[in-house]
Amino acid sequence: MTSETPSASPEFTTDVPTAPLVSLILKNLALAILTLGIYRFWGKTHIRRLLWTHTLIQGERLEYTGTGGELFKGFLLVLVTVFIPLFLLNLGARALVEQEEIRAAGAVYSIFAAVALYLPGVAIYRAARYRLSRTRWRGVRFSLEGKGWAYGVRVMLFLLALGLTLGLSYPVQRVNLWRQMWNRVHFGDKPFHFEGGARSLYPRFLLAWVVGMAFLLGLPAFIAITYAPTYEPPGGIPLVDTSPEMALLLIPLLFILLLLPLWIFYKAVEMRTLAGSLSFQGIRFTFDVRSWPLIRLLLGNLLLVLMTLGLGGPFATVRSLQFVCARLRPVGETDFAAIAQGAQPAPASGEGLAEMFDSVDI
Amino acid sequence: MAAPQGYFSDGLSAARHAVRLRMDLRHLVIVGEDGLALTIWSLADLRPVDSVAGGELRLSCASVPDARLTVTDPLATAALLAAAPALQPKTGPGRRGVGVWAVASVAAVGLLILALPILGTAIAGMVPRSWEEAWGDRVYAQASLLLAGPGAPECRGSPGREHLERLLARLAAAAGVDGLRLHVLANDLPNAFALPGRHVVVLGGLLTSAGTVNEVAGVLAHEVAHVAKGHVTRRMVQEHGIKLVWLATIGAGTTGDLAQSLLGLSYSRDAEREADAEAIALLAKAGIRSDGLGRFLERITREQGDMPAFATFLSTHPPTAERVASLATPRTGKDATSPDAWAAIKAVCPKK
Repeated sequence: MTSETPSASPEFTTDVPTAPLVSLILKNLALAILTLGIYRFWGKTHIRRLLWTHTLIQGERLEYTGTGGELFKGFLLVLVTVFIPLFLLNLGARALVEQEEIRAAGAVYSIFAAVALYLPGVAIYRAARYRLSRTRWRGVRFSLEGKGWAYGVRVMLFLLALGLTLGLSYPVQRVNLWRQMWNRVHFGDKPFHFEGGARSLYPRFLLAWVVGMAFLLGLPAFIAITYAPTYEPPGGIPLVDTSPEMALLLIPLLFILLLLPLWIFYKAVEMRTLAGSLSFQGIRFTFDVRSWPLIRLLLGNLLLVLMTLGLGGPFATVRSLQFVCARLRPVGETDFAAIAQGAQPAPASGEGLAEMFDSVDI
Repeated sequence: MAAPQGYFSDGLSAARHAVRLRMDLRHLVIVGEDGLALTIWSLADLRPVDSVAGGELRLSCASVPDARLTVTDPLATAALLAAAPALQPKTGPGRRGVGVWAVASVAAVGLLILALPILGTAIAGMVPRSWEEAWGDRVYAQASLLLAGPGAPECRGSPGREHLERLLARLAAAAGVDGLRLHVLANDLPNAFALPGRHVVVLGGLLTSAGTVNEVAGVLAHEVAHVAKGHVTRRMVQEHGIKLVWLATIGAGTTGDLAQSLLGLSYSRDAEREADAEAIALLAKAGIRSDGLGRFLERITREQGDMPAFATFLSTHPPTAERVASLATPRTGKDATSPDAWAAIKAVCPKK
């Protein structure tokens, strides 16, 4: 029999302190350099522990129970089983090209490309699985079922489909991948539930898509017109005409100014829909994210990371965390006593693949 | 129940109970709202769980690692910490730590920036010559394709070509470098460069636009200096080295490229200064007038303009004004070749 009052809606808060985080970042930098990078796994773990401990659900703090040693082991594992074979495959393909065995080189390179396309999806899944298994609330663990092999195949096929449909399948794919993952996320022994479609995403997506396509199709014409041959005076030394260079600078700028707001406009509804499709044991979620605050968040994070040459990464994560906590609201109640500790076998080491593909940022 | 002193989860479910605590010499008793003990933990078994400095103490128990106790009452917290000091939350570096680690990281980064060229040179020294030559042959093939066009032959006008080879050989001897391979490509750019594998490539434009043969000799000496000082192989290694080391230590992917470009350019400028100085020495050793390179740079700058000062950090070369100043030397030494040989050299590439 539980002695607690019926649970109020759990809300999300965060109180990451600045000075300790700055200290950690600097300490990680110094020690990473001195150990030629080996310390990074421990440094990353310390930062995660700080972030997790300062994130609260219903006023109670999360826990991160991973260790630097686990990350290091994962790294070594992947180094031996994936990186070195891939490296050798690549070398082999290049050596075959040298010796003019083009067909054999093509075959080897295709294997390399297939593996290289397949692994990032697996990496994402396994990184999530590791981090969830090392996250506890009230002592109860999160977990993610499955090993990620099927997920990786799905990501790879979706990439091909994206090309074939000129990008139109993107929203459907995003919803599908979220469903694949979130239906397998557990808190204790109870799963999350994802239910929803991509239909409401298409209006905004098509807006961005049409503008993006118009841009891409109009680009060759634009370049042809601006790239007039440079003027050569009779003296023989050509003057450098600067306008093609200016055009080359303007094109990406225009692209960003036009397309970015439209893309964020779409992303906002995508995030709202994905969160709204998620539920857990009677609790649903709302995520009140609007385009303009999202643009400010992303641009701010980009500036932060660029100006600190990457060192400010954890602070960008904190900004995103604060953003989410302020806008993600659970709706409804659940009986926590009914949630038992899960029996999921947890991965023994973590994230080697994600480390290799550099897709781990916190 | 009197005010709760903490909250307890047993690790078997996600339920949370408000609890009071009792302690004796060896045990901690966790008492539920109804006054009955929920569980008893041995003090020796208590383990800390990540807590926030100045916040609530969180504990677990070695025998039930999934259970969690959060102590909210300050008196209870003090009593527990007195009984089991190991439970004191270990905070990482705090405010003072910022200063200490800031200094440490600046020192470490400085060490890295200083060490990279040394590491680069050391690694470059270990690259087998056959690897470097294979690499260089490939790069030369691409350069030739790019600059002279597909299938274009090198310029071989006789006897100019032989005079040029002899001039290069004199400079190579002065530098103690062997096995240099000269190529002259039919391209109007007034330039020359050294590639891995001891290729020295001269573009036709250098021969036609140079005022005197000493200018050509100066440029050649500069390139030979690059080879002699190992810059060429080192650059080849550094291209990848800087990025790898940055990724390993700091680990932010995209900024690695930025760092590589900026650092690489600064090392490149140092290498150019070194090559300029060495070129003067080589020319002197070979008995050739050493003012050619400076004059060549001066003339090219007059004709094509120099880059603005603020763009220096984006350039592979130091600003020309600085180079010309450092290259100004007294005009001792003889002309590199006879006037006839110079005329022949100018005609190495066929006229368009």
